[in-house]
Amino acid sequence: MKSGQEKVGAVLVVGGGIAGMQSSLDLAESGFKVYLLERSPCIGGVMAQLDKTFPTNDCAMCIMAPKLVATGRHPNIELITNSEIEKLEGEPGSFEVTLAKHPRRVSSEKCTGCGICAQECPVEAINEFNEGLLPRSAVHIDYPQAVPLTFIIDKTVCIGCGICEKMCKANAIEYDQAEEQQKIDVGSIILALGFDEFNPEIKKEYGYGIYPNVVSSIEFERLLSAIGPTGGMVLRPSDYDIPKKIAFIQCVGSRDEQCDKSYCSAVSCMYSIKEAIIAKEHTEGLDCHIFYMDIRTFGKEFEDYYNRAQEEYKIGFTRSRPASLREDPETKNVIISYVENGEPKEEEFDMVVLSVGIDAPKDAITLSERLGIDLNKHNFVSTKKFSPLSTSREGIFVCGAFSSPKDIPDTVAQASGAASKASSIISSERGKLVAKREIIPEKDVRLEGARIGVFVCHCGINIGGVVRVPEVVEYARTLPNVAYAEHNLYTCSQDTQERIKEKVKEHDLNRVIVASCTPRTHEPLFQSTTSEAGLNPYLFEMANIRDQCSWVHMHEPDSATEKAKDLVRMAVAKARLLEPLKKATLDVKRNALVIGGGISGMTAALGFADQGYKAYLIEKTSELGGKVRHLHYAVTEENPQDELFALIKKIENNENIEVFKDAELLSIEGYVGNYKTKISYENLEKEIDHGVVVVATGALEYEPTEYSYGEDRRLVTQLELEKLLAEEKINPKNVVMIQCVGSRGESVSYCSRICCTTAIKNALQIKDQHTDAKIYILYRDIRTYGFMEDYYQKAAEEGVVFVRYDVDSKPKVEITEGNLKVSVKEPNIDEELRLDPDLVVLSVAAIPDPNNEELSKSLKVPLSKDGFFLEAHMKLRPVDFATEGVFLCGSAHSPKFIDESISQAEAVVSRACTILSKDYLEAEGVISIVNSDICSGCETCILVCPFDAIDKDDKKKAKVNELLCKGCGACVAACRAGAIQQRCFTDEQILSVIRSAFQEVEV
Amino acid sequence: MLPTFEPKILAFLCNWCSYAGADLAGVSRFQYPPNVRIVRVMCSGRISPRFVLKSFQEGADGVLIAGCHPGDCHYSKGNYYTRRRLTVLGKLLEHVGLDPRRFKVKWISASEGGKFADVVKEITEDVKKLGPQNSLKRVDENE
Amino acid sequence: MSEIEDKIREIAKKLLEEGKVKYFIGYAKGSDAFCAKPIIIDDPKDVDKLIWSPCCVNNLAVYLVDEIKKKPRRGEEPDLRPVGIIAKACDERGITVLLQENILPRERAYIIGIPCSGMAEPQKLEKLAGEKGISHKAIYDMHIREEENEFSFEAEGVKEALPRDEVLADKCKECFQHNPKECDIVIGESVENPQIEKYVTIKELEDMSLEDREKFWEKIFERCIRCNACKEVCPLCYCEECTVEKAKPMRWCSKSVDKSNNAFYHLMRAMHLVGRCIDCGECERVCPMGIPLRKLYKKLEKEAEELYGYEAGSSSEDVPLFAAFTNDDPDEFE
Repeated sequence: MKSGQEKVGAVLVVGGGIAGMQSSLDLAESGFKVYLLERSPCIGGVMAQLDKTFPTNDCAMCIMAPKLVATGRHPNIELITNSEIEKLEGEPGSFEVTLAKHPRRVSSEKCTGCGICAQECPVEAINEFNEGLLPRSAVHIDYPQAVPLTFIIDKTVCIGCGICEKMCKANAIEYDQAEEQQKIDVGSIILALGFDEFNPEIKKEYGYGIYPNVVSSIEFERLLSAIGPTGGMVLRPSDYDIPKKIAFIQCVGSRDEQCDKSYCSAVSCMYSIKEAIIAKEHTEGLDCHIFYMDIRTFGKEFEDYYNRAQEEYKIGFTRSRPASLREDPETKNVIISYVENGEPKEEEFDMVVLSVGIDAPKDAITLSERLGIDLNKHNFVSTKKFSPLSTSREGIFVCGAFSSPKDIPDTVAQASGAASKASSIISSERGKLVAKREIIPEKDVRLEGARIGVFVCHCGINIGGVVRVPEVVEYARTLPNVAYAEHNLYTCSQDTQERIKEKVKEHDLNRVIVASCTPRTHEPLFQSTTSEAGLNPYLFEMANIRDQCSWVHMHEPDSATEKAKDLVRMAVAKARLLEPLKKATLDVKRNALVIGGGISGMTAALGFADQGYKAYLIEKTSELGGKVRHLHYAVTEENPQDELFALIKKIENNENIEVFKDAELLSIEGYVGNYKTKISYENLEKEIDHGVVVVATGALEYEPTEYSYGEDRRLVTQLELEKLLAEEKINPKNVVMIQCVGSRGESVSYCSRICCTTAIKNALQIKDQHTDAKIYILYRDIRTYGFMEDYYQKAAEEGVVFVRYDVDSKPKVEITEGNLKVSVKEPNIDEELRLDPDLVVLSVAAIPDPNNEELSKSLKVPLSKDGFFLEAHMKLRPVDFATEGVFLCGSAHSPKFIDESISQAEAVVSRACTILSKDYLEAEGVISIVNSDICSGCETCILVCPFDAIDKDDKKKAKVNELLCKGCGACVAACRAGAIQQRCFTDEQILSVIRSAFQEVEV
Repeated sequence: MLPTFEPKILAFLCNWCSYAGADLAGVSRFQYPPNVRIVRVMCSGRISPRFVLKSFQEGADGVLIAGCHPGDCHYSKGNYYTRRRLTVLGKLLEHVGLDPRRFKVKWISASEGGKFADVVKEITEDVKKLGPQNSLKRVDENE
Repeated sequence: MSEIEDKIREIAKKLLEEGKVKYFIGYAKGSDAFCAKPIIIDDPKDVDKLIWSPCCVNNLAVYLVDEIKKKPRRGEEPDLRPVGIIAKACDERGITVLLQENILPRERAYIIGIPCSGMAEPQKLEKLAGEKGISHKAIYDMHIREEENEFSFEAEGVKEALPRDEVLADKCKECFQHNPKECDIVIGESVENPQIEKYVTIKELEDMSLEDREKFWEKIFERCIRCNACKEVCPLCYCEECTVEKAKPMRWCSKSVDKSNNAFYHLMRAMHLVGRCIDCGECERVCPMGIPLRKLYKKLEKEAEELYGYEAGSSSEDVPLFAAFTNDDPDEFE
């Protein structure tokens, strides 16, 4: 055990799913060393198994792959896969963790990921990644994009035939690798274990595992996936026939006391709708039907998705939890028995998908014991409303589904948030353990003619077994400007890297070409070799003669060899024109402007202060606290007022935070790293220099025009009720609460997310104060997602009556002779229910602040169609804007609970620290530049740029802000004059490639 | 017997989705005809109509362009511009008599290796049937 | 007609005398009656040279581009006063595109809009005059008037009236916007926009087989001598250097005149004019080889309208066609 109290500038992240990757990337980019521990052989988690993601139907792999690659190659992230925690010692700031590393039996240093071993392996084993729907070999990787791309031998099925060892030209097979132990020192720990799927076999009545055409939702996801077992064709397992009619059954292993899963999975309504939509898109004429209890589409733009599923995709929805399934033994069709409107019914389907719930990860209990952290009664990590990212043990943090079921954006926000929490306790150690960048002097090649070196890879037999590599090398030597060419068994091997450097010196090369696999995975490696050889890394070019040649023309060696020559010739044509690129750099003003002094803004400001950066917090009213000022009860035991005032006190006593009340933003100029903002406050004006901006302006309460609100003081909103309860001014006997006032299609189309739980919270509070009070909650769907479902159960147990109404026959509120009368039609009951309440409470919508529009214009960030701020990416960048340096948290993003706002606010701090922690900001190398002699100033490029990176200079010519440009090149294609060019992809370079593609020999 | 006509097809693929899709076709060992040469660009939004025209002029018998599905763009909206620009280019080429089977634009995601292989097969077979493209091909050899 | 002519002269005179405009761009009598030519007037004494006739077919907007691009001589204070310009509806749409693309600052032009129900095609008039045996000298002194549904002219005692349809310029037959919008002042009554069938010019081509269209255009492109007249006359070809033709850093299109390079040149130009060409028809009018360029651009105009509901030059506030998109744009790419 470590003796001293010295803190360690490293963090252990446990779990390599999307949450673990996000935490790791944030930390690594903010100056901390990261150990990313993953139990399975590769990172990626459940998201890697998904086909599409809701509500945008983004391709999961497309959006995740860049993060996989970035995590895999980040110099500050050490991946430790196939390993587990054994022991934890020490204290916050200085833990010592003992890890058990299970043998992989393939050397991670030597394996090139070529996959020859798996092709030749004679074993067929169950493929867990494809949910057992397709076999795999004993030596395998989970999926083609896996990181690390190192194969693993599954000892349980390996027959030890030795074929893989014989086939592996890299000598990477190491059968006798043993268990290893590794000790690491870290300052803090983040738990991002995610979840496990509920095993539907437990629900015997649904016949999973017995009827072949009953599948779980995650199996169905694999069927939808283009890289899944059926290549994206929806086929039913019994006969591989295309189904015509599919049913989805919700809440299998959720909201179900019988199988000890009382909570809601929070995601299965949305993923079932998504799967139904995608299935319909993949299969013509398919009929999809969803059996549900409540549809819980509570997230940002989820309700629109639900509406589209019904209207556009004609997906059927039946409110019923089927009692049982049985199979027609002849057709293998599945018959669902269910009750609708009190009547028993049966319906036959070709296939049934069970929307399985979310379980705590299998190793949760063992791990919690080893780490000494508390779990809640559902075996998820126990957290508190005002500290949603902290476990019961100081220095250990949690994010994602491991603390409660949640979707990807909430997970990603928490992952960033946990990174901020984990690094704040070791912020003094920032930068101490990270890889230092070596500066290698670069040779000036601008005035030299191109002298190109071409290195052609055999990739074992992957390329060389098809393409006649020596012939390609001979050909390369005949090409203009090629000064040297050779072939290598593995160009990516360590010794070849040294060889390339030698050859550059020996032959005075100034451009390097590698003809091998794909630049997507290997360009960074060869670029750094080029750089170590004393050349600018952008003087490197790649020809993809494996993934896009030898592997796809395995039986046509002649054509493949010709194609490889063409590809090398095209690479040479481009390499001749490559130029050394310098990345622009810029100093960073290391402080933050936070707009909005509510719970989100305050949390963010405090987060910045804890990280050692100054925060300017501006609040438009005269007091901090925002909407939480009006909350007196939480559904959990915390007291919001106590928590709030403790936070305000911390803010006011923190010398790193400057608060401006009655403040207004007058103007904001500049861009990431360098903003200049004018504000007015308390009749004064001030100019603030800062590096980042945080939007935390919250949301407003909708003022209802319906249900006679305003005509009687016994008609109140939930917030007003809370005040009355806190002041103990009422003694209600008979309360009616009406849900969805304004939400879901009235004034606003979305669901306001918080009102169901708020109503239940206040109902329980009334019950607490006035046990005999009768309470009716009139609702459309109860949306108490996650563990909040427990409070719904509790309310029902305490006698709160829940009455459902249809959107077409809403409750009526009348005031007759001074008495309140409410009538409502329960859809399953013929008669109208008449109530005589002494208090009617309206659960009103949360609406966007009308000032958002102005603020969005001055910050140049977009609003969503509903008027909330629109983040850079709905799934993976929930708190970033596309414009770098501007961030978003809390209800300004969309309505949310306190803990969710806090998580997002912490996330903002983490994301912003990736900027603030830098000594200087560095632009991308591949960016656009303007030739102002040719620019006409038509501004098309400015309009087209997705990053607001182009402006006009004082001569009315376009000018690219190099720090904001992300190098997509959209402006280049939009410019008629050719005045704007993308470095590394200039018109000249591409034209040259096009020409060379059709010319046998360039002149 | 005359040698069969082997068309030359140039493909421009965006780095993040379609180029990854083409790589995946390789990883999955999906076999497709060897007639396509791939040019990588960062985003399909970078693809100027002049790349297409120039390819045909230089002797392409077919041109294939692929980018992320709408909504999936790594740069959020590049492919929406591509969609407009190349839709119109397609109409123009058809208007001047170029067979639309010679100019294909497809959305191919990083996980659609099979689709990439199928698209290459389709355009290769189509162009094979159509024969060499001569109407835009250059005549001067001493450029 | 003469009423409008008087009004033009009056306004031009006033603007020039008061120094409100730097100079005035209008039409003057050309080498014969069938040809009005552009004229720049900077002296109020010269305003009587300005004319208005059914032959004022040129698009004057191109001269605004020249003005904007003019660099002041060293040490000379630039004269930033507006330029007075006569604009028919099509010319005005061209000006609107220049405004939309920030090439022309609005305050640099004083736009005198004239509603126009169509101009005569000089060649058609000349041909008809020739058939009537009218001498060249007479042609020069002749007056042409627009009446009801005829163009009439008088010379050497011969008075002729020709049906509009026979002499109207092709582009005017397809014009559906007769009234200029973005004007500082309008002369003449507004004219009712006609209900016409759009895109007649390309109908025949669209009905052809692919092979026939290929042959048609191959022949057409072969004809081009690459004199660049189409580019020079186009108010929207304002690039400092034509990217299609420039040599550095790379040459996209060879100077060689052959069907491939010519096709490349014209197709590139067409792509650059999508959502911008306002069908003033100047390119086709000035082409010495009679290349039917409108048949190229009109197709793209049609696609822009049908696919995206976009009309070039309808407002300077519009986001340009290729700088905009909607998530639901038509998608044929799957």
